[in-house]
Amino acid sequence: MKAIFKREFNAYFKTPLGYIFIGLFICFSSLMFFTYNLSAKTSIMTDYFTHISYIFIVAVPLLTMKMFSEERRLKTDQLLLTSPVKVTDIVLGKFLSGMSVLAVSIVFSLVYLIVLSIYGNPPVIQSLAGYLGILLYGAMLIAIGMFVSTLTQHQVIAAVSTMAIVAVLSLVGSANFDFTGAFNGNLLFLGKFLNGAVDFLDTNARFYDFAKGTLNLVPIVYFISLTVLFVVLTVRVIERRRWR
Amino acid sequence: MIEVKNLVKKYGPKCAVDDISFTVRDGEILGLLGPNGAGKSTTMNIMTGYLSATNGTVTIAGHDILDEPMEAKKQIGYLPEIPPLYNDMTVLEYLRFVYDLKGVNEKKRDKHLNEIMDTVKVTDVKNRIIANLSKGYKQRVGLAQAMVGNPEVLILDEPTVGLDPMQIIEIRSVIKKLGKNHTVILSSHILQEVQAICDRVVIINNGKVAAIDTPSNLARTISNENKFMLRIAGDEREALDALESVNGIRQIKSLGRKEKNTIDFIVETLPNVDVRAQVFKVMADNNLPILSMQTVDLSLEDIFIEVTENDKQIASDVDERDIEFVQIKEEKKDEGNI
Repeated sequence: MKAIFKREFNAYFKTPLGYIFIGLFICFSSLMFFTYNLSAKTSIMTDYFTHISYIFIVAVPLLTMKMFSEERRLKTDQLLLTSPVKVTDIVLGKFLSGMSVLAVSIVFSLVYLIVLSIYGNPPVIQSLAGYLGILLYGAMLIAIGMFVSTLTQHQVIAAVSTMAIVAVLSLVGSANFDFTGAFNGNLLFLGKFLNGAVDFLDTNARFYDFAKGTLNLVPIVYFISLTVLFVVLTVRVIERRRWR
Repeated sequence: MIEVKNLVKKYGPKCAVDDISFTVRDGEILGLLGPNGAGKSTTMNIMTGYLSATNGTVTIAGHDILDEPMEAKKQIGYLPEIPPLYNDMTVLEYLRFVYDLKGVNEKKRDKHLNEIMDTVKVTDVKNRIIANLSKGYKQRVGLAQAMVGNPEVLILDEPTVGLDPMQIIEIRSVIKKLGKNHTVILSSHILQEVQAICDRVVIINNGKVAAIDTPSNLARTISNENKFMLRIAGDEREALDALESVNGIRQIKSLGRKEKNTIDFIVETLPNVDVRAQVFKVMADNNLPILSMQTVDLSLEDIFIEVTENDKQIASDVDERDIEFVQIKEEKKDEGNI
C-alpha cells in the first residue's frame, strides 16, 4: 500500500493535476473568504464553509478521473494485479493519495482561521469542525470518483460522470423539490418516496451541520459509511473484472 | 515447478482457452507458440493471476494462484504483452516503485536494481522519463521490471516484439542467460525464436494444445514424411501425368511457374519411400528435363502447419496456407540463388 500511495501522490505533482487541484481550491476559497468573511465583516466561517464545497464539483474529478481508468488503458494494472499485493491495498493506496492532496489544500486554507484569530475572535473549535466537514465530505466524493474511474478506460468519461454526480449531490438540496405536489392522491407514496430520496442525496444538508460548527453523529456516520461503501465497491469491481 | 491443468477461459460464448494442460520443469525455458489470437496471452494472464480461469487450476511452486495468490505471485515476474510502464516516471524511479510494490527485501535495493539494469542494458537511460524512451528500451525496462526481486519464474509475453534485429539477438541471449537459474515461460509467434531459445515447445492453436515436445523432437516426428521440390522444364500437364505414373507418391502440389518454361512441384511421398531415382527415370523417358530437385527440410514452420493441419476446425483454409507458405519459402530461395 505504501508503495502505491507514494507513487500516486508523486504522480499528482509530476502532472499538473495536483497543482491545479490545490490552486483551484485556494483561489475559490480565497474568493469565498473575501466575500463571506472580509466583506461581510464577520469572523464566523459558516457561510465560507457552505460555499467552499461547490469547488468539489470541478476539483474532485481532477483527483479521481485517472485513478483506475488510466491504469486499465495503459495496461499498468497488469503490474499491480500480478504483484503480491491485495486489491484492497491498491485501492486504499490510491484513495489515501487523493485524500492527501485534499488535506494539503485544507492545510493551506487554515491560514484564514489564523488571520481571523489575529484580527478578531473567531469560534476556533466550531471553525475546525467546518474543516473536518470538508475533509469528510471530500473523502466521500473522492471515493465516489474513484469508483467511477473503475467503470471506464477513458479519463474524460470518468471526469464528466464524476462531475455530474458531485453536482447532483451538492445542488439537489438547493432546488427545493417537492414531489408530493406532482404525485398526489394514489401516488402520494411515490411523491413521499422521491422526497425521501432527494433528502438522502442532499449531502450539502449534512455538510451544513459541520459548517455551523456542530458535530452531529448522523452526518459523520453518513459521510464515513458512504466513503467505506464506495471504497468497498471499487475493490469489488476490480476483483470481479478478473472473472469476466 | 508450474502445473497448468485443464485450463478453460470463456468470454461469453467464445472459448479463448479450451482445456490447456502442461507442466514446466524447474529451470526450463518453455515456449508457447501459436498464431495471434491462439490464447497465449490469455493463458499467461491466467497463470499470473491477472485473469481468473472459467475452469482449471494453475499451481506455481506448489501454490495455487487462486487459493494462495500472495505466495504464488511472489514467485513470478511477469512481462505482459504491453510493458506496464508509468510514463511519468524515470526508469530508476519506476524500478524502485516495483521493488517496493513487490515487497522485496532480499538485497540492498540500489545494488539489486543496478545489477538488473546492467543485465538488460538500460543503465544509460536510468534517469530518463519512460515516456521519452524508444520502444526497444521500453521493452527492456519491462523485462527489468519482471526481474525485480529475482523471482523463480519469469513469464514473458512476446518479449522481443517491436525490437530491431540487434536488440532481438541481445534480448534472446539475456533470456538464455536467465534460463540458467530461472524457470522461463515465453510466448511467441516467431518460430525461429522459440527454436533458438526454448528447451520445450507448447504449440497452441485455437485455444487448444496442438503439440508439446522439444523443438528437435517435433522436427524428427514429422520429418518421416519425405517432401521434395522439383523444377521441370516443360508443360505442366505432361509433367503431372508423368509424375502420377510413379508409385509411392502421396501428393503432388503444383507451385506454378517460377522460371520461363518451367514448372515447380512439391512432391510428398509415402513414409519411408524414396522415389527420387524413379522420378528421374520417368522424367527422362518423357523428355522432361529436371532442372532441380531438392528435399525440403522441415523447420518449425512446417511443423506448426503440420500440427495445426490436423486440427479439423481449420482444415478448410490450411491447404491454401500450406501452398502459400511454400511459395514464399521458394521465392526466398530463388533470391538467394540469384
